[in-house]
Amino acid sequence: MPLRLSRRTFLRGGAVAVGLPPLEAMMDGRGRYHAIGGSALAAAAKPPVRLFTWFFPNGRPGKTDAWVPAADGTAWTPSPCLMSLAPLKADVTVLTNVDNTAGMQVPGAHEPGDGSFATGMPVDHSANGSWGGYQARGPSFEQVAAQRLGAAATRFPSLCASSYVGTLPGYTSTISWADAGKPIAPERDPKALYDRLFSATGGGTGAAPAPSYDRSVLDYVGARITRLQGRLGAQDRQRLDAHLTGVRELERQIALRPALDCRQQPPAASDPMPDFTTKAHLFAQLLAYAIRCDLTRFGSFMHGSAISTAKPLPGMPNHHHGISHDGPYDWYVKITAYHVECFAYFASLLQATPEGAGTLLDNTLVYFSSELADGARHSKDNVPIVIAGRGGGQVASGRHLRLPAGRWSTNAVFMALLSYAGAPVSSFGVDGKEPLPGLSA
Amino acid sequence: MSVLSRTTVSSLGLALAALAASASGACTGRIDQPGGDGPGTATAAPARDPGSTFTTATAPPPNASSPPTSVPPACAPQPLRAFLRRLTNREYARTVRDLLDAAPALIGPTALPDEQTIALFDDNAEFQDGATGVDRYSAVARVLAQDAVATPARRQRVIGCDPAGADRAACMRSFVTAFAHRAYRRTLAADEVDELLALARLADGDTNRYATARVVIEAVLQSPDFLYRVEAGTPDPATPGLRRLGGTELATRLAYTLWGTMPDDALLATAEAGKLDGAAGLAQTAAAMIADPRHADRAREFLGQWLGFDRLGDLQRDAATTPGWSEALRRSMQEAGAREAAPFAAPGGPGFTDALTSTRAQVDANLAPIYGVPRPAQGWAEVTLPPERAGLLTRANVLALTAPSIVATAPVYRGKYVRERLLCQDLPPPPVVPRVPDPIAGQSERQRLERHESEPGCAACHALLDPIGLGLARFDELGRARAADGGGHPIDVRGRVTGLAAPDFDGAAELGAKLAAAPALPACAVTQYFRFAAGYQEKPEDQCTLDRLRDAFVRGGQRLADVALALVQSDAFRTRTGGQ
Repeated sequence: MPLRLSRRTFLRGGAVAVGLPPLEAMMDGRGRYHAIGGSALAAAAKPPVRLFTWFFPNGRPGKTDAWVPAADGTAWTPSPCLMSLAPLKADVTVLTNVDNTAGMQVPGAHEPGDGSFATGMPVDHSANGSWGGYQARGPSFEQVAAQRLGAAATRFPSLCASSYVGTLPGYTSTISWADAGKPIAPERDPKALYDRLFSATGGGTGAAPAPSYDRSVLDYVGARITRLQGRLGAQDRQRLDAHLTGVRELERQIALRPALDCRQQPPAASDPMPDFTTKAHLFAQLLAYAIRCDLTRFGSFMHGSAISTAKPLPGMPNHHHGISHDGPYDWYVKITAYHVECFAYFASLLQATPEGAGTLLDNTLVYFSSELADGARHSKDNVPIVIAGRGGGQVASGRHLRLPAGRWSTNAVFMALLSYAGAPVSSFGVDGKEPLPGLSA
Repeated sequence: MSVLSRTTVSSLGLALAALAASASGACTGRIDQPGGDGPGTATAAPARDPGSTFTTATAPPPNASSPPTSVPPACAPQPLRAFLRRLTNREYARTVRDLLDAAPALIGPTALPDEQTIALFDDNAEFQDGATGVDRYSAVARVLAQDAVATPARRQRVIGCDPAGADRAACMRSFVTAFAHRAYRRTLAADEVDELLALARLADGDTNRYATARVVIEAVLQSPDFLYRVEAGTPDPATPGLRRLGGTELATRLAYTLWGTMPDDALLATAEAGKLDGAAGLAQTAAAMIADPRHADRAREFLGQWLGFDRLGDLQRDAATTPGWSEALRRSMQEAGAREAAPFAAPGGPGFTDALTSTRAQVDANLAPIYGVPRPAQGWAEVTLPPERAGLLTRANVLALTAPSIVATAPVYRGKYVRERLLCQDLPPPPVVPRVPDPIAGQSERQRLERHESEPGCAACHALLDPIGLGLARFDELGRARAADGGGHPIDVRGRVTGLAAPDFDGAAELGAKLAAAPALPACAVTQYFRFAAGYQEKPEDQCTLDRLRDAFVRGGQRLADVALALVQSDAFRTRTGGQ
């Protein structure tokens, strides 16, 4: 049965709350998602491991029992904040006593935690004096895998999205970094991501495709860049080099286009921007879809920027950031649980998709965490971490892993995840010397 | 128990964390360096001029309120940093409007690459990333090119001859030559025209007779010659290392600085005739450009980004918790900002100090009830508000922009607005925030904020912010006057702008007047304009340029057009370093 998922269906289907059934078009008669047939992916003996990060803002409540499960190991039961993980209990790993050591090394509130969230490096805030000066000092770990494995394998080396609306401040807008000082601007509009995934042109506003001259046009653009570079100084040449990289990437996507199994009709008219929750669900669906169709294997999602001032729950007496500092405390628990719930939605989409003998979630790893530990204090030791998935059976999930305090940094976790993804590194971030040993099956 | 009384205004990391990230470390209270500190000082903050210096009350700068010092004789303006600037999304939209007569609706809200706002402005030449957005440009170019050849009227407008008729070779050559000349903002070499014609020939056999023109438009719109402002310059024989911008390069700089869009045919012709090479020709051209409506647009864009009216588009409130809020009101606030800014954008308009003291306001049916004035019979009307409503800090748009959903914490945000936008004082991010004592039932909003003073870690920054914002506490989160705070306490609006020679004030009107008289205000206005126009945060070597701009600004009665004119005629603007 062919996949049918029109833009309108997609948007309608997306405008539901957690708990409603997922898109019918993505499921077969028994309520399970279609597996992809006939693709390179289906032909592969062993499915690849996918690696994603999922960010939630403003940390967790300070009284740790709101987040940290009381029992350890497989005996754990969800804490108030983690309640929505109950159906995923066997598929997730809760980590306690992992420190964002890189974030702890830099004075500041949210921003150092944000810039080191997935890079494990202390941020550089000397670059620009003040506004926008926060730059990461290294790549985020999922980009390391994307650069090594994704670029050759899939149409999109990685997909990065964010549900933050509004003007982007320089330093809290992304968790994905191609390298030191090179932020990856996340896709912030689900429609735009939809267009990138489904339109034949690989991007844009949904005009009818006229692809036959695309390569020639890009050849021309590439030639113009080279010619201009001959007239310009080193700094300008470097900037054009980056542009040329973007042109080459677009060429590659065009070349891969005919092989795409999941291709859909280009979308129709645009719709108004959905609300904060709907948007998270839409991005979750799109990312799950992109994984399922093997459009990408790596990526990130930011459910709001650091210092999020979203008010997604009815009756919230203040916005998220205000509540994190000023309470009421029970609302801090509720808004944190809400963010966990949206993450659980994403994991459940992967869990509901068969792949090989298991599910997509079995072959995926999603690192879920925040820029802070206790948001009220801006602390960064013992940051909240949940890892969803088994990484192709390599991770012994279903456990609460309570580590000795003050011993492990997030970099050890990143090294372990990179190793499971097939992109091992000998060190990572400011202090990563070895992969966290306790995760493996 | 009301929401307000349950919600404390403690730690207030909430406001400070949202502050711009400054140099480093905790808020020591010393948030700026005295003027004269150049490169090599410990601070990473941009160099300031003496008028904007600032320290805490314990160490007031000696000249904080003294008149601006004159430019030292040794001061020599240095060229602006010349980053290879890509058109901003606004510039792109205006440019295709002028180039193709393209309807704005053709470019969807997310069609162009994401931009980051740094230091209030969306043009951050220093931090642009060339790699992202290539696919977006490609898609938008396709849409625009299709539209440009879609109807006979559009083809006549864009191509001007029949690219499918008997003379199609001649038509395409003339079209390509003229179109690329405007799009690349210079005359193309013969082989550059041939290159485009060769591309067009690939579409010769296309079933669509206009595919040849369409593919040219698509290619040109994606070319770096179009997307970037190329400034190679030629070596200045008199000064090694310095390069003088060529005529059309300078015309392009002028156009994007003063108009935010491409140079028109007349400006390109002026440049190619060499008339911008001399000071007199440049002055004449710049004056004419300033008088053009495109400059008014551009100046309003600056004011909107500087003063925050632009951000009203992002403002989200919940009508359930903020009674009176509506989308229509938000749009009216935005429109009022543009209308009230317009006179300050005009050459010969009022000086900027008026913006802080004027009681004239623009209202429509949505805003009139906010100010408690009669609704205009229709549309917009100018009204005179009571004396306590003097200046932009008392306008609904600024008050709403600077009020979080809990109005009790608004003084922090409002203080931050004044420090950052009007005085150019960036505060460092807060350190790990200590816990402040719990609020005591029955305390007023002011008393709660004053708890910050009990914690040195909080007080260092909040002492700079709260006492400013408290002066505006008689206005609620939508800008309505209020007689009592959320707990029913009378509102004391005495406040302090720490750092000024006479820092104390009583109420919004005095605050506005005090800021209007502060030497830091013109210095900051000029600095903000510089950041907007140059596309980066000022560097130590820009101090001389900033000093001269400030002198021109102050001398002319604080008119923004004077700063623009002074900037584009300066040597800093006409030259660059680096390059081949």
